[in-house]
Amino acid sequence: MYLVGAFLIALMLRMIPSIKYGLPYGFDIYEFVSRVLVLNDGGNVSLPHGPLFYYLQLMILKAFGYDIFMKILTFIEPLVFTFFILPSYFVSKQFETEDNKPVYTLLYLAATNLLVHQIGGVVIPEGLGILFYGLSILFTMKALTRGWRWMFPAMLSGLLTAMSHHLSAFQLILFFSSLFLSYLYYYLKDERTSSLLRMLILVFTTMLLLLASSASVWSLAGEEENMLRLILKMAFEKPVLLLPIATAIILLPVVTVGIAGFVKKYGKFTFAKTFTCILLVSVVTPVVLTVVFHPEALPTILWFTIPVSLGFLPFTIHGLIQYCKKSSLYDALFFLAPLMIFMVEASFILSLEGYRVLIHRIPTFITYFSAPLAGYGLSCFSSGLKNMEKEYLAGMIVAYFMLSLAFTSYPKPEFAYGIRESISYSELKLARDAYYYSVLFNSRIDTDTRLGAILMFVSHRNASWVGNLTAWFSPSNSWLVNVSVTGKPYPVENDVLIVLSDAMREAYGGRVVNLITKPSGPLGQEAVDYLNNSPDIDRLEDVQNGALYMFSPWKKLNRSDAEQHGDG
Amino acid sequence: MSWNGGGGKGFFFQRIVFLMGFSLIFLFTAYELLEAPSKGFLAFRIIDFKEKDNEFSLVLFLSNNSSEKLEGSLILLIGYEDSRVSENTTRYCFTGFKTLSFSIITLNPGEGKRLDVKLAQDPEAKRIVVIYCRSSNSIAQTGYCGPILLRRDDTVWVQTWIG
Repeated sequence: MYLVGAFLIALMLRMIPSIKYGLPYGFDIYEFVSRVLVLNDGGNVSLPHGPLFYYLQLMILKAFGYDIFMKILTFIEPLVFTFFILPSYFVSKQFETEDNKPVYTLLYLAATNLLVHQIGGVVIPEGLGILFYGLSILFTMKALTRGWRWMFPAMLSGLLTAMSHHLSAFQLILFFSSLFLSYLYYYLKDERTSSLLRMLILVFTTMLLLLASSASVWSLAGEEENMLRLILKMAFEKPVLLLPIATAIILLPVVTVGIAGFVKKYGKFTFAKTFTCILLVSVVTPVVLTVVFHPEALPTILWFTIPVSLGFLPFTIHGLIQYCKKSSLYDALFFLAPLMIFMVEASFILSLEGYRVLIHRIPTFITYFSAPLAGYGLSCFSSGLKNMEKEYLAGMIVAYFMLSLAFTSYPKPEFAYGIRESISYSELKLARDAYYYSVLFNSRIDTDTRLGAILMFVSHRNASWVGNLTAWFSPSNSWLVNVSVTGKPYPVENDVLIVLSDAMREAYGGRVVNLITKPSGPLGQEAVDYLNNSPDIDRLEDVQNGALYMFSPWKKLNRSDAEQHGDG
Repeated sequence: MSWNGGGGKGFFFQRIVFLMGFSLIFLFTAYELLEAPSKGFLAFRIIDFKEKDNEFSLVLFLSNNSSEKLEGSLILLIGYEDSRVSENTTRYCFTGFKTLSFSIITLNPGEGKRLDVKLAQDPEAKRIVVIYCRSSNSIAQTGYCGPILLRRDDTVWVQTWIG
């Protein structure tokens, strides 16, 4: 009954955008589908995340045709992606400790915003990557606790992870690396058994397989598209980084085993202390730092940080501590070692100039991996409640925590740094007509990454778009981006069609969306006034929440028509 | 009978978390769905523009992409040197324009209409603005030269510069 309730929550939350907007949610999906459409047309296109997601979509498109494909993408795939939370739930079911109630893990997986958003709410290759990442973790846990033969399905799902999503594969490589190093240290220090040695060989083989399959996927991506490739390139281009990496490799197992041992012996960890520490570290510190360094980001930080830091993190840490206490060191390493390496990874990425924005993807993988611990933490917490009043009060508070986690699933632009993820029918029409006009006037199109994704979708990637969605580091020298950054409009080039949406405007709490590695800002009133009133800038189309502008299009067209007639 | 109903420690807590959590998230889902934006919209665009024989010829296309029947005014404006369009989140304001013509147009759900506009050249004119507005009775006069305020949600407009 509780399981059904938790799964219904998962389904409800993931179906919100499909029913609310009637279109696929999130602008990324349009860019991904544009690649599928090119494949369907028989063209060549890079597949930056790995081929599996794109070919599965292509299969559906070929089987059912475009209209049904779009319906499946909008309404069926979010439902299917909901099932991708199950591997993490099954990991929770493997716990052999007392008091564990896996249904709490399912509740967390159903409601936690990052998972709702990226497993179902937004249909993206990462969702597929997370499924296989989760299955690899589940099979590896079974191999370590039940029997080594489970490593073979783990290898297979590892291969499928690499085929699905670059960063999921990177995360899985780190997961296996941490296990290998920690269990190797444990083998040398505590348990020299042939079964553990066999497991070490299998885990190492899986790592090699993952690296090889990830490298094979690189050839399908453009130069700047595969982030795993970029991160490894960056690391090896800076020899100075190899020293901290080598130090981390040596220290990680020692520190991990040391921490597990300390947690087992130290008896004074209580939920209240954990909660207070998390409050200080994860709420107070980021809020103060944001107010000091980036006050404009405060609504976003508060909107995400408070639910996760109060509703998820304390229970995860409590669960980890209790799991370390109540299970063997061998079992505890399975969670502790990857979490340690994920923290090292986060620090490492933050230290890489230009790449630190990638940190925004890591919490999803960590959340997914640690959801069984959060569920276990909640189980242990509930066992510690001593009377009915406390159970009632705590139950109400936790229910509100779950709501706050769910609240953040589809943030409004004011809480998402100005980014509107949903797309409207009028914007689809605007992009379609922009492509029509660009062909008519032989012009390029200037728009932001959000509408650029739609432009790629409607034009099957044929549109000449000023701005390169997939180039993470090439500057996007477009009028809209430049004006959004400086706030000062300047003359528009005469062969560029400008696609403006209310979602880019400051007055609507929006911004000109650019790739996270590049600067952008909101489009101010001065820029809109400039487009509306500058002589020779025509307003070619209005769709109520967006418009098309171009410098003297008809004069140019009529002149070229006249020249053609003259030549004729 | 024990306070936890014999279901073990945390049984009552589990009930509260699930019942309350489910109810709250259900209400949140319902709220999100109730505030769904309208899927329908008006679109107005210039298909062609020509300037010859002392006459401007403008071809426009107006489409009703909603499920309701719409009735509104098509307003043709000529803008002079000091003409200005300003906008905020609720209104458009057109100043320095002269209303050249005004007509009522009805659009059925999903219907699109091609509109041909012709006007004689005016040496002082700088731009042509064509507006379709669902609530514009206050400016329904040809020759009107004062500022025109229109509700943004009801209005679509296009413009081209001349001269």
